[in-house]
Amino acid sequence: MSPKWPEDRATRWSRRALAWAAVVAPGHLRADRRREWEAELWQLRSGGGSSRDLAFFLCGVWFDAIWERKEGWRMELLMHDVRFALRTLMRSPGFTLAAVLTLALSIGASTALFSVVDEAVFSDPPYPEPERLVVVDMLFGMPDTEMNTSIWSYPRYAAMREDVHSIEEFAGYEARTMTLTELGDPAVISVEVATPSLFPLLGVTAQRGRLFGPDEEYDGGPDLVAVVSEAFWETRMGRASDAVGSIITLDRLRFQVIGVVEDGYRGVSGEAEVWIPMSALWEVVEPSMLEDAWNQHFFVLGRLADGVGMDQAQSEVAAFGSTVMERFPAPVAAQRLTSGAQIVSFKEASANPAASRSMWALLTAVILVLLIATANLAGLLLARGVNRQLEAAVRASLGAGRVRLVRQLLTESLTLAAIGGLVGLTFASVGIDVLGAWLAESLGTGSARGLQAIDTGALSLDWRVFLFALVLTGGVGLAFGLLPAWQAARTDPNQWLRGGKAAIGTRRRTLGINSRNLLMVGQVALAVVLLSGASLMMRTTLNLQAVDLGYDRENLLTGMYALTPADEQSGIDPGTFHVDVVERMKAIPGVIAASVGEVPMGGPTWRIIVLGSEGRPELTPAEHLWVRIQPVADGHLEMLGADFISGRDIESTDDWNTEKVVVLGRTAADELFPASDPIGQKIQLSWSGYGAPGATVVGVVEDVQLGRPNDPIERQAFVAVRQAPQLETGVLIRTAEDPESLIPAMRSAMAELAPELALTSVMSMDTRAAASNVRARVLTILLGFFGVAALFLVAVGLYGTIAYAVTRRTRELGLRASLGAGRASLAGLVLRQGLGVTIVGIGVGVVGSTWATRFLEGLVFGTRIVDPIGLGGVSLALFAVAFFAAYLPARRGTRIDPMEALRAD
Amino acid sequence: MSRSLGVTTVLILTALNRGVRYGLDIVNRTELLPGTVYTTLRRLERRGLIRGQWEDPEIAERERRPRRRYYEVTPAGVEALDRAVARFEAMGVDVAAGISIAG
Repeated sequence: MSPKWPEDRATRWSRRALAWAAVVAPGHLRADRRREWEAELWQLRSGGGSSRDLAFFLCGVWFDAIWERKEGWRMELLMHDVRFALRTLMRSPGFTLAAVLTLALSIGASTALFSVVDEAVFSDPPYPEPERLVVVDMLFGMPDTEMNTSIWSYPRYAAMREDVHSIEEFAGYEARTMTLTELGDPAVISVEVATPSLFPLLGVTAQRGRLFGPDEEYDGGPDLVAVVSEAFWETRMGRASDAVGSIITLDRLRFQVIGVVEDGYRGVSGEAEVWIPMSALWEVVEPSMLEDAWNQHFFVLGRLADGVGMDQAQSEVAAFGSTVMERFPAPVAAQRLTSGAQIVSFKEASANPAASRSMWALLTAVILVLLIATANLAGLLLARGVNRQLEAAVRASLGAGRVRLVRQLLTESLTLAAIGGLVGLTFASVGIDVLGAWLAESLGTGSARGLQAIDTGALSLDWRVFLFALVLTGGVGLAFGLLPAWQAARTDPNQWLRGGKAAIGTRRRTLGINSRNLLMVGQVALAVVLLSGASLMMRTTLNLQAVDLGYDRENLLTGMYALTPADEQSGIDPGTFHVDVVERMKAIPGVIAASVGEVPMGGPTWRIIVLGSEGRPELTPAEHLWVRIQPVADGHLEMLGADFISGRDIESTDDWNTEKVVVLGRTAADELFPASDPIGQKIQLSWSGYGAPGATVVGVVEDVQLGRPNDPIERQAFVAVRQAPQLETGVLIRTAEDPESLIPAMRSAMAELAPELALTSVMSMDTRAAASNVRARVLTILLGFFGVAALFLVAVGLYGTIAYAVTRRTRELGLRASLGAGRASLAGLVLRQGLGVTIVGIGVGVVGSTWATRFLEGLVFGTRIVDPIGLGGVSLALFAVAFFAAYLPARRGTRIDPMEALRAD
Repeated sequence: MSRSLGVTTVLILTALNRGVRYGLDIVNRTELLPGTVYTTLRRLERRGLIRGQWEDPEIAERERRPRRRYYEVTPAGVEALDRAVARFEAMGVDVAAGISIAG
């Protein structure tokens, strides 16, 4: 009977690794060694060795194999080769320096980028047994349509915890911002609301004090409690030893600090400074937060029970989800929905696909640059190789074996690559912290479910990144060394020694096609791919800037603030307060107009349902329209610069004394009143106080883009802040001059009115817009940079190729000149070669880029992935660069003195 | 054979001399790295201090596993080991103290 192997993936892979190691071992020992290793591996896997043991074992096997090999290699010979290689490289320091720098920069950039990709894509979540962690989504959908992921309410969460057993522990989390006062200046900080099960589920511990107890989930007792991060303890409490037990004030509520979490932990969002238990929401928001099954406000995590697979848990969770609609009676607006639930692995849930795709695109781009650089070097080495063919021929005729010659040349290219790789690794290790963090932050560090997608603090040169750099360096060294080595191996010493340099001309087309031309075609093609990617992103950025937002972005300063339920309880009327804010802002010198309302690309955002309209008082649930709604101060739309189609703006007389009014965006107006004039008609909204009889439409404006430029336009409704105040709002001021110069004035006006209120996210609309499309801009800049680098490399490569061709053809050109060929025809002869190569390269590149730019799908805006104009432009640019790069040496070719040329060599 | 044996080599030879028979087992008993153990075994075999032999195929088959390669110390190996141990003892070092042979 054959051996019985454990049937897991690690064993299969390890056996494959043994087979590979055996290839390295010397031929006569190969079979024996492999059999011996297999027996040992069997023992290790059956005996339940750890993965660390396995790793050491496999390393040992490789060691074993190489050790035998090395015996045959003779170390001295290798060292001799390396020393010889170094001497050769030192003889042409210019070439060496350029080559090392090119390699170092591209290897360094690829490695730094890979470390970001590694962290975002390959790393496991930083929690114990991450494969058992899942995110549980609530699902809702209309019948026969795909379900949308949603979030949880406490009653449903509690019911699921009772019913579902394939998940051993559940936890809820919700990110909020709260205003911290009485501890330095008022500050808005990130707070995570957590069920007490969250910390144990994630294996997070306290370094001081305690974490939440089970009784703090729902009831909480008389005192509010909070847990703080180490950073909070350090920067805001000065690492006070009596921090645990002290009181902090959040949203004017007093919380007792009961603990400090373990070193550096920043919550599932990666941003939290403070955690409060779910039970605190009774006071922080309102009692219905935990009682109302339709008050959905948090995400749910779970840990699979021991031995339970995803499928089993998935079906149990789905079965629970489908009962939600029956168990929890829905409000009118939601009655037609069907419910469901699903689990997603934590790793998948914490991914940010757009950011990952951007990183892959950038990594691909850098590797393209590296490929171009490699091809470039191969070309240069090939040219040097021709000069050294004489050397090779001499050595061959003196008895050096071919293998020995090839090894010498390969050692040279590998030495060059190794130096480049080493310097590159140094670059990368410096660049990772700064560049990596910057990059991750501009591409996006959060995920759709509020989880941290990439921990910029965890970027490091770990073994995967190191291996990547190693493979890259080795691959590059082999790639640009093989061609010249192969060429040397084919050298026929006799022909060489007889014919001298001129003899090569007849031996050039060794590959059927000229290998140097092939390299050039490859470089040009890769450059086209890179540049077309860059041009797509550039068009995206331009398109994003050119979008008509429906409002005037210039000279607009924006900020946000939020009153708290405690403020309201202490007698502050939010409507009056917001109007006071507007009056204060208007009084600042240099302010033309001011208002409160949703800040575009900022918030706060509310969406509600239109329940009915004049003539059709009750829409069926299927006909309900979602509308983005915002309470605004008088003159808000005029201040924004929105275009009125009909009717009027919100006015100061629209207050609690008068009937409710609403101004609609064009899309909403068209859909609600397709056949009649909306002005004067009534609509009912699922918004407190706006049900029957409803609000009167007093105006219609062109749609305003309240999201980012590439978001779809939503239906909009503007209501009067005096009639429907919310606690939270944005504040917007139109300034006469540079809006950011008024930031201090804005802040102090706010502080005078409410010293304990934090004004957050204060910036001009231009800054906000720039921040919102930072991903596109970063991609544009980096891809553009790589594109220019590629263009430069191609130009250098082409120049080298043509210059070399001219040198090689000196005799021929001289002969032609002496026979009466004109300068123009000589130049044409040389140019034709260079431009032919370029045109073929462009052709290949255009075809290649229609495929390769697919990676940018979802990242571009306002242009198709295959963009003929961009491709045309790129091709033209490349052609122009190629023309100049080829023209310079071609001109030299025309100045050849026939007599000199014929005497040459 | 005049080269004297180092600590690692003595450890491995001692283990073999006490009845440990294959590479992985040596790794477990001596807590040396597998790479060290394998290369040392190769060197010792080449120097004739140990001898490798394939295990009886029937035993392996009965246990449904690949055949192991067992090593044993040759007389020359025993002699070299004794000399080395004596040399270490003269320096006051019990090299083999760390090897666990229980079970």
